[in-house]
Amino acid sequence: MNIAMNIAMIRRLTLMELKLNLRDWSATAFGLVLPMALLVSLGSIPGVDQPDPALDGRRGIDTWVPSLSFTLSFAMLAWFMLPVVLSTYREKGVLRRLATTPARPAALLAAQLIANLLMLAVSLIAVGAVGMLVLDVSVPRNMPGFVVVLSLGVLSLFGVGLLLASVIPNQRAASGITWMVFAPSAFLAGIYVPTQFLPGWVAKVGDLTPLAAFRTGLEDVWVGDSLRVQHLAVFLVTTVLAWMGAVRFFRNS
Amino acid sequence: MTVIEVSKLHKRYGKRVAVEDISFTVNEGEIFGIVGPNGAGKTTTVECLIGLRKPTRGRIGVLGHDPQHEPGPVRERLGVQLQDGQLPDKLRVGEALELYASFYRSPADPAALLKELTLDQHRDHPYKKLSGGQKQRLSIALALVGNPKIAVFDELTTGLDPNGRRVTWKLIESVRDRGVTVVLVSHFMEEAERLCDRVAVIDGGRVIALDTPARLVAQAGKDSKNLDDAFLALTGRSIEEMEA
Repeated sequence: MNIAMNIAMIRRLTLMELKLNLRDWSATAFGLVLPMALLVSLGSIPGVDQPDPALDGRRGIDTWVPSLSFTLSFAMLAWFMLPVVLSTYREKGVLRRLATTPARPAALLAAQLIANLLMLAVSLIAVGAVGMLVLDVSVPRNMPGFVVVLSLGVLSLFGVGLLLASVIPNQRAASGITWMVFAPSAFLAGIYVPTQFLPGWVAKVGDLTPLAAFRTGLEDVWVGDSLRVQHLAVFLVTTVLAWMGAVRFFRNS
Repeated sequence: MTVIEVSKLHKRYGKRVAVEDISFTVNEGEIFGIVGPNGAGKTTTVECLIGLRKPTRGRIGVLGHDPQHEPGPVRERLGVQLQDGQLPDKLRVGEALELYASFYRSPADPAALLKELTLDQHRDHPYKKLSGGQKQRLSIALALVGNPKIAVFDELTTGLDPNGRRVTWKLIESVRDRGVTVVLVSHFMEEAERLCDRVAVIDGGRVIALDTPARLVAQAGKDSKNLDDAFLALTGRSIEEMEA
């Protein structure tokens, strides 16, 4: 197959996978509706748009509210949607069947990745728009930093998702493994209990994990600070290891 | 003309030998059967043939190409239906066929193929809602949509009722009638006897006999009436009883 045919094939597969993803109502619900629901409900809490002494004078509406929604969008799509869909395909023999055609099973992985990124974009734009236009979310003060965090978030978090999607053999294992990956990361990222109520060591350990680093990084750039070096390092290491692992260990069946 | 050449194909997993020095050729336009009990090495042989598995040693030529070193030309000309191959639940019949057609350089017309396999009224039905027989026909359609020179079917009629089986057999014959060479893997002896021009009988990873069904039955003695009897004469075991 030449390059033109490959691009056309990935485009076709991506559109097909996007259609299939959207036909699954739970995917749309968790990836798109849940983050929005959280934004609106948490963003409507009285006082969240006022400076909070517990947050050093910052407002919740500029920090933990939007960061939570964004982080959840990423986690739902990268760590649940992507791995579960691929491992289900693997279990059903979809990848194996594809391996007998001129199309490559890895192209299906790429297609799902792109489809999920498109869904992520829609989710983030919707959350951002509603946040800024309806609630009082301010535009991120460190805009270049914001773009960098989002990009590194994509590379590292979806990198992990890609790795999971490359190796998990079936749907049942996917349910278990994705949860085992998400739960501790979510705890460290303050998704269950806001970090200000957790002991200090949680934040320190979290700084070494991609999901918490992403959330904290978002909050930093939102109020105008720059990205912390340790977060940059976490994103980089995660990205390299995850993508290398995904390519190396990808299995058809 | 020979379209497939397998020479001393050997596949070992650690200590276990799944396929032991198997050799056979397939001629253009024939329906070639690979039969034997489950676990005999049939599926492993076929997986090596289509390039899904790497042989430990041996030579394979599919239309002159080695599936390991030249997988592209092989995949372009080979249509495969594997057992336990499903599709995404919500993928519709027409969508699946059009998607697969797009992978090949000169595919068949998906609409015409759907009609031929009586799937056209199910064009917009999702895979999950299809019956066993409809799923099987879709599988055959996907194997044929690339206009292959060779079609490989692995355990094609497992799970079908007798009527579904007969309908599928007629389909295979019509596939052969269009000039496609067919490789049929089956543990179902009646199927091999009914459809195949020649049959390679595989047991314990080895080819224990290779001939037309009629000659295999005749060679097994005057009491043998069918291929299962022939297998019994060759190995002392009955496939029908093993698979029951």
